[in-house]
Amino acid sequence: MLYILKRIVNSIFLSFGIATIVFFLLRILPSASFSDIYLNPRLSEDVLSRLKVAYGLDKPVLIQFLNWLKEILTGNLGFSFIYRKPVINCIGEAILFTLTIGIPALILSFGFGIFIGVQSARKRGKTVDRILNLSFLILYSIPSFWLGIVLILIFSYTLGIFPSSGLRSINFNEMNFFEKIFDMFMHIVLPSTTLSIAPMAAIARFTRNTMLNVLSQTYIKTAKAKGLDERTIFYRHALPNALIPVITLFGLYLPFFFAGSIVVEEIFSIPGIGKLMADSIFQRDYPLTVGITLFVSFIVIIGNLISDILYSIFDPRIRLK
Amino acid sequence: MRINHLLLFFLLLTSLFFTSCRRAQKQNYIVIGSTIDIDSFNPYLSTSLFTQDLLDRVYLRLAIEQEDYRTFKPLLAKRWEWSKDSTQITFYLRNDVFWTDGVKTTAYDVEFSFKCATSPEVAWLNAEDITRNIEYVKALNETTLVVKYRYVYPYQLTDINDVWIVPKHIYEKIPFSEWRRNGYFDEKPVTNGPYKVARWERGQLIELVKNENYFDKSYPKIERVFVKIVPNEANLILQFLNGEIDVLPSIPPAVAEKYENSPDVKFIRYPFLAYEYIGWNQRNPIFADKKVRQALSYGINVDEIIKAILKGNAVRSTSPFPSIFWAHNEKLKPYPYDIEKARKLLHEAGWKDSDGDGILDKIINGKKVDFKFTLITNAENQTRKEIATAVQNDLAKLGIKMEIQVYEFNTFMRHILTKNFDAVISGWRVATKPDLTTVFHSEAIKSGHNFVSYSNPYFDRLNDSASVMNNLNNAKILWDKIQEIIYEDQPYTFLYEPVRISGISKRIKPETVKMNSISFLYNLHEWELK
Repeated sequence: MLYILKRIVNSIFLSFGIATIVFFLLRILPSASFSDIYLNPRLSEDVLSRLKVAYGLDKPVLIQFLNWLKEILTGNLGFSFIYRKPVINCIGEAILFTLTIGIPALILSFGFGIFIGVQSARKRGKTVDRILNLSFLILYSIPSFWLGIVLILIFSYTLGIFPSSGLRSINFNEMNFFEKIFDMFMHIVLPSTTLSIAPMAAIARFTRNTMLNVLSQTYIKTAKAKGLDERTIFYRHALPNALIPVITLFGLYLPFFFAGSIVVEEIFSIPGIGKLMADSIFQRDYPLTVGITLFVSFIVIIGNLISDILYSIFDPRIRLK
Repeated sequence: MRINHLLLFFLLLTSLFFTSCRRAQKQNYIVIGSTIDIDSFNPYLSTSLFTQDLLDRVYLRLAIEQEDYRTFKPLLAKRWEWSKDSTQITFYLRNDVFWTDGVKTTAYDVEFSFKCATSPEVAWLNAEDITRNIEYVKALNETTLVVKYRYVYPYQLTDINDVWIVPKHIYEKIPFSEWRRNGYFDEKPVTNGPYKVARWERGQLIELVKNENYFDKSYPKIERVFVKIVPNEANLILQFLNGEIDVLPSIPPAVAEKYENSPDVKFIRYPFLAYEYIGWNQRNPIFADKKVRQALSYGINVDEIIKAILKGNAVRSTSPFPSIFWAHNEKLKPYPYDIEKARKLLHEAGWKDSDGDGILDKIINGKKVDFKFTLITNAENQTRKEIATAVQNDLAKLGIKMEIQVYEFNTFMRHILTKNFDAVISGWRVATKPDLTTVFHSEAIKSGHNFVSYSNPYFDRLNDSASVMNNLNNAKILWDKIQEIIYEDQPYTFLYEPVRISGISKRIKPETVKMNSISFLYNLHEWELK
């Protein structure tokens, strides 16, 4: 317990350190100047300097940093220029959208990934296994911006089954409860699928390999020698042990689903964390960029922590110290 | 059994879904597609043109600027009178315009709006001209407004009409200094135009609905307008072709060409108040001679660029005033592609291939210099990159070696503003007031956007007098002369004026739609559905 607490405190400091580096990087970069976004022949130096005052950018970088620290300590994580509200609120709204497609994608990729991986291991060496193995490779290498557009082309444009953008129809407010649920469901299908394909392939391949590894262990031979049937050996004896390394992937992929994907959110117009991050960078909204960095790095670190904890739960040999 | 239940459940849901679709289709609405969201419903905080296009449908201005950029039709102001010395305009406002919360729109709102526009704390992007030119704005009573100018100049109406009119009783609740740190204005916008804001789901959807209390009861014809935000352009275009989106502000030429004959969509092409050019940095001794710049203009095949790269969707540009603008000099003809003439001019300017390496050279300040330079442009703009390659080929034929360097936009701007480049492909969106001071005046070399460091005292003098002339017909004579000077000097090689292509679906009556360089939603309230 103390160990977990220590790790959490550690991770807060670590993500804060990352955000601090990003804070200064954004100001050191030659191209990152406030005047760039407002390039306009009618914009005078005078107005520009007033804008800098309005956003507190006229002060020396160190003072800006102290002001930012103050915002962090009050829990705002900074104040966004473009949204004119605390960064924490922007993230709060965006995270809901990200989770709406992230959680189904998480379930989809681990559910299917493990399932297919196990099946592939069962049929090792056979044609099915070879085909699956090849398709893992292909699916894993497909870039999501391409996959997203192809899915849209097939399922929205040609077949007209799933809507291709947003999470709600424009007449959402006039729907009854069931229609709303159904509408949300239809909107989630394509983005969640796009998001889950690559991790699914990775998980399937990984599961297959650990499964094969476990199957070659001596205790499996012992089980066979005892005359247990194939199914029992496979699912009772081999699978639980094979899944332990998969937990590592869970920790790795958690931020992938919860921190938002810039590409997928852009294609399916989902205003989640990824889209927020991209906008903040293009529009030079420094506090927002730094705030999101802080948040995302925190999630990454927490993801690692969770997989460590899961390890200790599932594998009695591992103890956290 | 369980499977049957599930099936039944899904059937039920599907039928519900389709009934809901039918219900939506009966309604009188259109969907506009956009890759970007608006940035604020407070016009003084907004920076994007798309936002302004939309805000113009919910906020009324004093008058409607016409397509010629010179005349105005009454809107919030029923009529206006000029004082004898022309330094003062008295506006008589309508008495029947109400904000969406029921409060009447009065001259006091305009007086307050002027304060917003010029407040240093608000720091409105277009504040400069208005602050400099207008002395005060005063409401005499609810419907009478006096605007006093510091001097007489041609764009007095344009300037006061640029001031967005916002509800005083709402906007004064927040002190100016707090505006940029307060989301209040975006929560429930109070407006007075033909449409009002029903909802704004950031990054997703904006819904405008008919303002039932709009003073002109016959408008708007379409009751609901949705703006659907789809950041990915490919997805957006697919939704447009699919009929999910009815209006698309901007369509790539290749897509328009492909679907030209589709019965489901219609494309509207209209000129855009902008031009693309190649700027020659005249600090570089190579480009200091105007004969060389003329030779370059003769040596670049712009017609071929328009045909091959832009698929014909552009008009050749000859001057810094686009051809649809009233100040444009129509006598100027684009530099023809004439490689012999280019060679001759270069020869006259002293450029010869003396060492026989295929590249022109010249002795400058006692040193032999090859005609070599780098053309920069920004990576985001595919067209510009293609043009750069075409120019490279054209100039190679003249014995000029040109490199191409592509930068990310912000880095690109930095190179331009610090004058750290040889030549640049870029573009200007032209203001509706003719004034070349910020771009070509020699004073704008130090503080302004004359980054090519063009300097001609004769131009300076004429520009100074033309931009303050009150009689636009007389000013036009000067502007014509000024454009001739620029044409002769070629500080830029003027490439083309883009043609904007917008798309509308078959649901909209095309004859009711008017789009122009001021806005693609110019007469949205008059649009009708079939």
